[in-house]
Amino acid sequence: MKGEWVAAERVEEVRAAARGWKRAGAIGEGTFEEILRRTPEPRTLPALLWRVLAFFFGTFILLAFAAFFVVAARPNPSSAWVLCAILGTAFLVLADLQARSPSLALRGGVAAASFWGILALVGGLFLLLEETLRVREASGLDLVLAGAALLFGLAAWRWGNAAFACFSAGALFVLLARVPHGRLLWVVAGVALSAAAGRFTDRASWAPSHRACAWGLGVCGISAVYAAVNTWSVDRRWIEALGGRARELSEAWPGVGAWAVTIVATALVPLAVFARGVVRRRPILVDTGLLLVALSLVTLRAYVHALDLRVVLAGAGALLLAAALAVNRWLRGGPGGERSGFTADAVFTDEAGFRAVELLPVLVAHSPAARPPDEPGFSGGGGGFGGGGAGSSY
Amino acid sequence: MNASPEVAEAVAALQAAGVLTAGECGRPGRVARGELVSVRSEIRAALYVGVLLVVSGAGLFLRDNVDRIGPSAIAGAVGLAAGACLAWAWRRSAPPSWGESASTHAAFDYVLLLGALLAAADLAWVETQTKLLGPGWPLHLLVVALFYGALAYRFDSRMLLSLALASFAAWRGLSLSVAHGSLGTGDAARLRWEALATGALFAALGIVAARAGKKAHFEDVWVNAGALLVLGGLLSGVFGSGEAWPAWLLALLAVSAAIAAAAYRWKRTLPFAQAALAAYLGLLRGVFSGSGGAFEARFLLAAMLGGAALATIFFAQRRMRLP
Repeated sequence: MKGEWVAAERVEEVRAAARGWKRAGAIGEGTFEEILRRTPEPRTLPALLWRVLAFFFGTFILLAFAAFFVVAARPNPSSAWVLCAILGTAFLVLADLQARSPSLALRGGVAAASFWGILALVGGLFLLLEETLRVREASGLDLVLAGAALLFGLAAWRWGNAAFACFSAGALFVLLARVPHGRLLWVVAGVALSAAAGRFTDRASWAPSHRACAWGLGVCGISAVYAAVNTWSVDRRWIEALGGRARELSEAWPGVGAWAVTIVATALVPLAVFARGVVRRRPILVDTGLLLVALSLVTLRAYVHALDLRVVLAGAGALLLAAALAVNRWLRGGPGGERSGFTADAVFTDEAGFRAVELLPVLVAHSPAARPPDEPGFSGGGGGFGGGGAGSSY
Repeated sequence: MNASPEVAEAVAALQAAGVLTAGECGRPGRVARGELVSVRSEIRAALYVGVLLVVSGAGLFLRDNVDRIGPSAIAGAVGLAAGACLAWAWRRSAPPSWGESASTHAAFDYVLLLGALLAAADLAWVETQTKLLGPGWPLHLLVVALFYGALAYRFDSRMLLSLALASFAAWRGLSLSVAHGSLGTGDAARLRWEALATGALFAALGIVAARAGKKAHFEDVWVNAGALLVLGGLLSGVFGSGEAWPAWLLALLAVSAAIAAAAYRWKRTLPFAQAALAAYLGLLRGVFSGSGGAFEARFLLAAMLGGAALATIFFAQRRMRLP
């Protein structure tokens, strides 16, 4: 990443924070204007919707161009990799040219061009190994995964894209699943990755986007460890199946002792992550821990059927409501509405985005189905459960 | 906002320069240094998921035990639960106002949603059992829409207004929900006109209400739903009306241009985005229609049209001066 991009990101962080302070009423209009005057906008930063729109249109354009070249050139399978390599390189050059322009860097086009560029290069590598060099399928796939991990990793470093960092980690873990003792390697690599990434998440010398990449890698590492030790994953030999090695294992695998370890780990890993998040006061670790706790409870339900599913659902919902209200009340009861550095207030965040995300599942799940077309002689049978937004059943 | 070394440094520098007072630096500085963390999103998410789990669990239980418990008892129990939720929301709500009002409690939005969903489901259940409306049973969708709408205006809830509009559209045979299909089932031509009329009605009501100062902040919900229906109806004509598609395409382009122009003038991002996307998709129908000809040229044309659309978006964003 170029030094000027890092400097621009730092200014953008301050400007975004100032907008949050103003929104929350922590500073007045005059102070806000003065902060903006002192930190002039280094690059044009459109609202999220504009960026998403530009990403989609960028995708349409790139794919249409790619289709044009493929249809026009009609390459044979053994030389198709050349076209993929040319297109991939061209897209990556296009991404970098946009990133260098202050007016284009943050519009969504960099992400679109770099994503499709990397996919074209990975596709080209696959075609080269499979159709031209005729490399053995297993080795070829390993090389493709290694190539994907490397390319996405380099792209994350160059353009500071946290999603690319996660894709890179994902390709790496799939690659590890394909070698002997893949599950063990997931644990080792997951711990190493999350520990290494954790050292850089707060490092001031790193660009904000690189710190976000480090957070992404840390969460990927934690997720890999949890996936490797989760009882359901061991029982279904999920990682071994992912690597095509499930059939090589004996019936007795993984052994009685290992089962006990997975059961304990399924319970403890989420709690450890959650506790780490609370101690370090890092929301992303708290959220990851909570998500893993939920997965562990689902895992528990898969093996323990002591209670009826309906009771479990209603009971879990009631417990969740009660816990959320209790935490809210407890935090608000503290001095200044906070306890141990945690607060239930919104601190300088824009909740509009959260509300928009919240709305979508409600509309999908609870908006009523359209009434059926009128049919001659149809006497109706009542609306059933559906009219009230309750779906087709209570 | 999370911990950020840059912001922590900036807070100290701004205080030293006299831009921020000591009082103004307190919370921003602590948040930037990671000394204060908000868990509001986590609490809201837990309340939201909790409500959905309770509704799902209770719903399954009642459905499976309808013979044992009896329909009247179910209707009574669900009605009671809905009433309790709505009464709680009523007690906690801000006084009625045509302006925007803030939530008074973290759980307010979710208890209100739970009460509204339960009440609407109860209404549907009673209708199923009594067959009061007979062949006109879809009318209960209109009743539900009005009920949601009344709650939305009383309690200032965009979520309930969205559900109200979705219920009204369902009454007209349309579904705003992706899960239920874009234009429902049945006579496509009739539904197309229903979509156009309903969408136009939504947009008009939203604009009129906003001009009259009646919950002006709801305008975007009305207008976005209206634009979605109108553009969806026109797109369905372009892609599904057989030989008549060129006429529908012309209509789509004209309406998209009008929506984009209005959105540009009044600085509304989402309708502009919808119009741009719909126009582009419609044009793709024209580019790829028919057989014969150089196929690669069609792809090139599609790419060039995409480039033109992207350039328009960049230009509009810059001129609309949105952040």
